[in-house]
Amino acid sequence: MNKKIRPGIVCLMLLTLGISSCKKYLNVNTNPNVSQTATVQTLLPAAQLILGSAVGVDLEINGSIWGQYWTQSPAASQYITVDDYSPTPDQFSWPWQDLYSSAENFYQLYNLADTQKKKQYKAISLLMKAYTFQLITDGWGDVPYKQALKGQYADGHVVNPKFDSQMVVYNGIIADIDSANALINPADAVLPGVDDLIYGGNMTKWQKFSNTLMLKILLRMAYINPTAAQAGITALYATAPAFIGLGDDAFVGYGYNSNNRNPFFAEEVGLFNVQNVIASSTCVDSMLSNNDPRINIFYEPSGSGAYVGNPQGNHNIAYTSGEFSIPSQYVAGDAQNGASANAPVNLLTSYESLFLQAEVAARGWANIGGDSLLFAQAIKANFDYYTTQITSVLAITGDSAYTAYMTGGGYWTSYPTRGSLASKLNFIITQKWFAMCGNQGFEAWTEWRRTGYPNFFTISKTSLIGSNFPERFTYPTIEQNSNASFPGLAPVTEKVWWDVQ
Amino acid sequence: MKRVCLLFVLLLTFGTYAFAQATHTLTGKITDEKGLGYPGAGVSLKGTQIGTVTDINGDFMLDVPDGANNIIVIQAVGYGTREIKESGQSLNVKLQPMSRELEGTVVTALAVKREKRELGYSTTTVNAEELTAGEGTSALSDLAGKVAGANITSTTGGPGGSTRIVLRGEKSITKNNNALIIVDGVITNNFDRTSDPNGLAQIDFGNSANDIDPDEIESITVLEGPAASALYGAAGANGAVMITTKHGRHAEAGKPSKLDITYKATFTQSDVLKYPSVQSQFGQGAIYTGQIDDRGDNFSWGPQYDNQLKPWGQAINGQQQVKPYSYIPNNFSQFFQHGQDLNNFVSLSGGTDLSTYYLSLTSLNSNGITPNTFYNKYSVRFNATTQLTNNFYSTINVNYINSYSRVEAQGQSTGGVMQQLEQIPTDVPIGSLSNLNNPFNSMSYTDANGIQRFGYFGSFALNPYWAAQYYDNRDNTNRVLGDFSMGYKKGDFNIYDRVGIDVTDDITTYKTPEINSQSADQTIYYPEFPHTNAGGFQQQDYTGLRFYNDLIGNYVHQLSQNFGINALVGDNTTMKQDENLTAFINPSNNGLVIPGFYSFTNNTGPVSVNQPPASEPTSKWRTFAVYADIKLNFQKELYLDLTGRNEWSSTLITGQNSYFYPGANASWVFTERLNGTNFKDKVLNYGKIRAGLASVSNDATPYANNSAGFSQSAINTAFGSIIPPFNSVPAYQINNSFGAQYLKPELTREYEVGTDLSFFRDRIAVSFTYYNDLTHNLITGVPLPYSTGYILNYINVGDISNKGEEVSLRGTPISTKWGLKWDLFGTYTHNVSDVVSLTNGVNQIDLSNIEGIGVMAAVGHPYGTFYTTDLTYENGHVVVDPTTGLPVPSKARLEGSFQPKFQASWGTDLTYKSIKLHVLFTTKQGGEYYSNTKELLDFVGAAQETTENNRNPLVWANSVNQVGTTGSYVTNTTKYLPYNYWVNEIGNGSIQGQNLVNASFIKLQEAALSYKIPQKYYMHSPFGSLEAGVFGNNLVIWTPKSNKYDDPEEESLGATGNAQGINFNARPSLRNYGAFIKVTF
Repeated sequence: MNKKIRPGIVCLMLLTLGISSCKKYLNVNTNPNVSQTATVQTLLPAAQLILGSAVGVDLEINGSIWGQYWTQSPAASQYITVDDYSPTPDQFSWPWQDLYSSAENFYQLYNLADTQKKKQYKAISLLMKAYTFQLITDGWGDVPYKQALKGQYADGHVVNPKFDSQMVVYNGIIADIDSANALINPADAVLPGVDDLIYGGNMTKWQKFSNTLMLKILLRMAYINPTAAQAGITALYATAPAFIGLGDDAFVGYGYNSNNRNPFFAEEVGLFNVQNVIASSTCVDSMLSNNDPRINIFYEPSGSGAYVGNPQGNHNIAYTSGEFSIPSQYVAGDAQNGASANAPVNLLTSYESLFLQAEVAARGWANIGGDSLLFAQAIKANFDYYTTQITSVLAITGDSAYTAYMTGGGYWTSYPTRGSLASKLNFIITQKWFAMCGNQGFEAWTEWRRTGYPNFFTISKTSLIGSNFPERFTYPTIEQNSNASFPGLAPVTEKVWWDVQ
Repeated sequence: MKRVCLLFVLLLTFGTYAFAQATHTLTGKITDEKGLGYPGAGVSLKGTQIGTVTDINGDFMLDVPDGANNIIVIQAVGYGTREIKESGQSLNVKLQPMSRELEGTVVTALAVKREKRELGYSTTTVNAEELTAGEGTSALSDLAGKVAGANITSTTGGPGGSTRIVLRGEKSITKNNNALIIVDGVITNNFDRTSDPNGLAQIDFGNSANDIDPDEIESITVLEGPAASALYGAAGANGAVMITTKHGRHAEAGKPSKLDITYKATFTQSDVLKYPSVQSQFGQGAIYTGQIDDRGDNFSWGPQYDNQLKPWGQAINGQQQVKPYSYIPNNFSQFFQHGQDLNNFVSLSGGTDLSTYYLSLTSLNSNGITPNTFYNKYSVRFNATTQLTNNFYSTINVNYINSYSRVEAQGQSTGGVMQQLEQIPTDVPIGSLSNLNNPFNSMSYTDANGIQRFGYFGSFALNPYWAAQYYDNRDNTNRVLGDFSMGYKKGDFNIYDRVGIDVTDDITTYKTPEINSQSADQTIYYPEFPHTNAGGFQQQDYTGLRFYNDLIGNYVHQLSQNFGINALVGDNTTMKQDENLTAFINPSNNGLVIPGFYSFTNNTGPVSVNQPPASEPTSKWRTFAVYADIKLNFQKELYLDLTGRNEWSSTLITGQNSYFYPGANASWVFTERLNGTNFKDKVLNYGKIRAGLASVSNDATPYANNSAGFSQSAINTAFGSIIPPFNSVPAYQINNSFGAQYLKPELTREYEVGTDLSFFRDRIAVSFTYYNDLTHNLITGVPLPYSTGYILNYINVGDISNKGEEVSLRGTPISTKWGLKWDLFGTYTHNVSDVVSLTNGVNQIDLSNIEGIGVMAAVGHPYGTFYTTDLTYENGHVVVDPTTGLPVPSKARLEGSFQPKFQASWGTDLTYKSIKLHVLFTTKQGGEYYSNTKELLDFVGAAQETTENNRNPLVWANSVNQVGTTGSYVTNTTKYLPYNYWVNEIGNGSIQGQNLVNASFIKLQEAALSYKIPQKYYMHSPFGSLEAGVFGNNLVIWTPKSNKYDDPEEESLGATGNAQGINFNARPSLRNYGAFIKVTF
């Protein structure tokens, strides 16, 4: 042992050593568990899946209950507050969150695609963001739009985004669709592939999606601003647009193999496979009275073998096992049937496209004529959708079932070719409502709000808002509590901007 | 006070009077009670200014006048003042320690031993004998009632359970608020093995601070405030629990090496401390829903008991069980067994004059009260110190721990045991359900047609015996922790480097059994309610590393007779790294293929791994710090201590990551001024006042200041999720939380003042402290409106204040020469917590939110205030619905909190010769907790309150209803049906405020009787001492009448979590009692 050892010097040396490497030593705070970057190919499917979950779960459940396809089962309790028209403060927190999250991801996708000059991804992100914001504003009316999605510091750290009027949102999304149209090029060198869960990168189909979405948006304004709606439609038709037809349907497809189950079925599994929703007699009775074979698609027969609905909201009754029909696996509504996992989530369908065109024709806003033909084609498209897209529906066989239905003398198949516009729209929208049974519930309820059709909805037996219907989603508590720009709560009976009928 | 000043002046005057005479030199040595030289003792000639201090070896030389009868005054810290008449040329004095409570050495921050009188802040030391008086199996739980200022909560009170220890209130919203656990100077990893922090299906494997066996502990010192623990930096912001383990002892120089062997065996039996009480009038049934035959129901909403024989359960092959329709008392207790626990401890220790050696082995084997549960722990501890030549020395301290346990599922987990039990109607004999092979109890058997059937009576719940047997949750931890130091000490200088490590490998497995059975009796039991579950398997591997290096230089010098200095400088390097890997076959996502084969190859669906950012697989945290501590003393009477620490943290960015925080504290042992007075001799023999001022900064959690980043994470809806890749297509979404890059550290400033007094020659000792803390710049995730695209933003948000008083008392009313001694002791703790401010626009932040109960940090309220719906009041009247007569639920509001108003303890030791009786009571008063036990028992109609008015309709007392939608109210006369209230309002949680229960309790925490067998009985045996005793801990609980449900300390949100006060069918806490024998050789 060297007796001349100087502890003080050793100490100083160690200290110095410590400080000189300090910066490097402390540089460990970049989260290794999350990726700092993403690619357009990974962002696009995520954003589409989030949208699929929002549309397939909360929008479908609330839309299908308030759209009177379904009602709460007396044997369970999950959606009592919806059926009673008294949503809890956070009833619509999940769809609000999922829709904005989806929009945020499309916004990030747009920015990334812009940086990387990937035009088709830009176009898709614009279209999907427009589609998403139409859902948001149709659900809640005035919503954050221009200042929305900019929470992160890099995007401006806007943490109290202002609420824009619904008209501003509509103008914004129309502009976005126009921008997208300028970018769409099916022959672009960079096209999405399997990462585009809706069209697999087929930009021709996205062009049809764009046109059909524009039609849907403009027609929504048909009552509040007919001039603008008509002008827009005239301009759209001037481009000789192609619309979504059979085989172009925009949906997210699911399966049973792994983590790709229909999100509504995943929700039902999460609720221990309890059958919460059953058939509402509003829809079942009207389908039965028209001998509508599609009842086989949208519902399961009751224990007796017959199709039996329960009056809307009639859940405070003694319950017998198997008493009522339930929504079928084809709309993911059979909570105990694993095949429900296969049901798609529809975003924009061929029959919806044709019903929209039928309405344009009925209104005479474009020189296309043939509204009764388009009406029949739309119904046929719905039959075809459930024989071609979902091939396992055995109860109907395409054309013959359709023909039998159309010639069966049912009230809702006898289109008033010479009737008033109102009577025509009554048939077009009511048939659209039949077609969207449990598969586009939010859109059907929204069209009922816009047009008042079908005109045979009944007030829920357990309505807590008297003889009123719910007309909107309510804002979630989190928005109220944490957004300083929050304008105030709106009751469930308050109508949204375009709802003037 | 005036009188004291006068005395002071008189003494000073006396002191200045001097002699001028012929002198001689008096030499001598002052030794402590162990015979070791005592340096720095004052030696003076009474009535003069002549004096000196002893050197490092305790030797002194003093020139004193010849002839006269010199009185030599010896003053030594911790030994008081002694006067001895000179009788010759040399004077050798062996000192005896004086004040048991208020003097002596204390382990302080960085494991530096200091005289208690020097400290300007409060500390509490609990020695081994006090700690283990109740023979509990957890060192932290054993502190309950012994430390003023500590809020200690033990969830199960039994082996392997969780213990939370918070000192002087919660100071952070996001960061852990538990006290730092330090073993022999090294910060340990107090990781929480609790799964599912959302609490609905929590499984409690305990927290790792309980790994240290109480028998291995020499003493625990609790540093309550930042003033005491500031030198630990950020980690010490919450105070510290300093555990000193047992070491070997030096032999006296020249004596042969010393050997101690200790063996101790402890046997403990455990039972449930508190069962929920149930009503005894109504049995199974649902007469209010119109169900005629409801043998499958979990409801006790049936008709009144008639004690008639009645068939029950399912009809299987035409056969049915029959039993009287009558109440079964003590039904729950049939399910639980006696927990049994055998703890063996053996240690070998010794030492020469230069080295010490210690080795101990501990084993603990226990069976829990729930069938199939167990907790086993094995521990080896080794430590050694040696003094090398050339002034070098080194120490080694290593501890290996293995624990292996199986615990029952809790909460809403499908296998949750309490949940199943509470859903058994009050007339169904639980004990009769134990034979799972009996078809009437079976959850799954094959019928004649090859169909899986269940014969168990319940449609909605599982047979609890089946759940306890097949839901299999295990934890296996291997852990090595220890510290190693080497140093050089010469004269006044001491420099040493200490490395501390704590390495943990922890594997937990969760097995969910497969079940897919139809009811046997399809006529009564709905086919819609089969018992189905695909079976699942989860394994979580956790590896934790804690590494510390401290390099410390210390200089101690007595500058003059009056002034002394003790200076310390050091640096610290800290690294923390956690790795988590979870693999999961989700039972609700196709699950296992072959039932009962728990392997990750036995899958149909995907095997998912942990999903960042919700679960971080890797987390790294590093700091570097330099610090200094300078202590000055004046005549060993006035002390001043200045500390400063500068820290650099990895979790903050350059520019914000360097922060300095100073502290100062002072103490004055004012009774030194009274030396020689009657007042001091007879009344106040020791008195000290102290004051401390300190600040501590706390950095952010790792990655809190990062931008959002992207993850391939689950796409969630309220109850379901899709986990990509989706059909082999990878999908990355932007994460929903991000942090401000310029996060500043949280800063806690505290001042404390206090006094330690000892009266009547230590017959009564009192310690009092008042403290006032303010924590600034709290870092937390503030909820964002979803329209921003995000959910949480980590920013600096606000301030939390904690103020309070701590009092410890100890008295000895009786102490006789013939061996009878009676000691009394107690503590009182009062903390006022207040969330002072949060960021603009945010008034409250959720610490947790489940089942409609938010546990909040809300401005103007104590930390942990509940936020939920309750009754609606109008001018003191309850507002009810005019048509149903039922109370109208209010909007969610802030009410109650999990904070106790005060805590106290009271204990006594009665000793007669070698027999000792020890009793300790503890209490927490005030505060509330959410009881799902209440909610569920109300829902199923088993709770006592559900029998109000014999279940007939009645008018809600003092109720009004609103006239239309106007603002006017009229007296209500509508009757409500109790069934509707208990099932549809309380039972479904729409008025959760009514399920908040008063959390006050008094516990008989410890009672023990021990006997040290006098040596005369075994003088010729190899035994050195022989001791035996009986004991109990967590023995009895008294709760307010309104709490008919749980021990309020049971907790579902994890023992170390920030949100507390939620009991979601947590497993019951235990009453423990047993006997021990301890021998030394």
